[in-house]
Amino acid sequence: MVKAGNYDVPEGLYYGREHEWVKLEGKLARVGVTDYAQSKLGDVVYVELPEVGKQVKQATAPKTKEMELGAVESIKAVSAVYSPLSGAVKETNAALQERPELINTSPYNEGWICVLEPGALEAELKNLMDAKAYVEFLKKLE
Amino acid sequence: MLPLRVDDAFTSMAIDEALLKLNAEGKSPNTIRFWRWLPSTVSIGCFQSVEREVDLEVAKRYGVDVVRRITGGGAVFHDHDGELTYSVVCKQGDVPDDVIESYRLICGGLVHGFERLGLQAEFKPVNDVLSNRKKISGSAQTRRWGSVLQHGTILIDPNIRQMFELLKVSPEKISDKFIASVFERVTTVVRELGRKPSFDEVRAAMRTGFERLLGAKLVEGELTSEEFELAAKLKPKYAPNGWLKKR
Repeated sequence: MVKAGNYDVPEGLYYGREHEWVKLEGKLARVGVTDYAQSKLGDVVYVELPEVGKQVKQATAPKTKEMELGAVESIKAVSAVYSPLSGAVKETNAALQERPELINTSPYNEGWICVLEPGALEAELKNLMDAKAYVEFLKKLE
Repeated sequence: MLPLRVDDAFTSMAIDEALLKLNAEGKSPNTIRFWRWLPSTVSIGCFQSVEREVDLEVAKRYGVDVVRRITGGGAVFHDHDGELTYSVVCKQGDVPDDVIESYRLICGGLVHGFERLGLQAEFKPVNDVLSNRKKISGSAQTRRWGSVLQHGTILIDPNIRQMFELLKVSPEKISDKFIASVFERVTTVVRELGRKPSFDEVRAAMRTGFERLLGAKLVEGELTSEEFELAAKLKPKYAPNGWLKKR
């Protein structure tokens, strides 16, 4: 585990600029939000999961609806969750409907948001950061 | 900064979303506007259940509209005669990533505005402004497409009894004693100031407050035709047969 200030940044994951993480599992990719993201969001009270089967695009600027993997509500604020990869949503974390706080308590494990079937994995991984690069990215934000 | 508008809830919500979307696309500048609700309306948070939060029979009887916001938070009664509402739209990079800190920043303009009106005011995390330790303004946010929309209430003289009749609070509970207990937590501009300022006066004070916060003059503008057209397109979503009853 690498640390950036107070934030955990596990090694072996890929990171997007919108503070989402990607964990490769064979041909699939598990996705969630990072410790930094959950900390800045504050207590999550509701998670709107993406629909299974939804086609999403890797987030770039400017962002569009096709890049959204649902949304989370924390402290009276609804924030979109952006997809770090293009592909199809295969599975979503139903546990978040009963226990949205898992995003805060376990962002890298029980608080995962969905599993994607990536459409252009090899090309798109180049747009993501490894743990070391994400730590540097976070340092610039603080 | 846009002119003071008085619109139905569906138009107002559509304007806010249009400003957010076009700001994200780089087509609209960062914007602040003050506006009123006609008729009075109950708004509910993005993910709330309308059946659970609002007494729709009472709303119908009073001629009060009901609308679902794209922002978070709870159900709020917006009194046509008693509330001025504000909306701020800006790039996400212009506010802190930390949600509480971003409320603190934007609510700072309201705090200066209340002070300009002659009230004592302070920000109270998460998202309230207090005057004499009682809530006088509440806010909610959404962060989408790379921009932020924050809107919220400026309580001038709302009808508190009507508010609790509309929100699902049991009728037996709405006693004089209950209303008195609400006034221990909530206050209004009229109560703190001892007179009712005009909506224009409150808007002008808030304008000065935001100018002080930003250290810059706000430029008066109008809705652009692009903003107006997108708002017209978005309006049906907010109408009673739109997404209101989705939960």
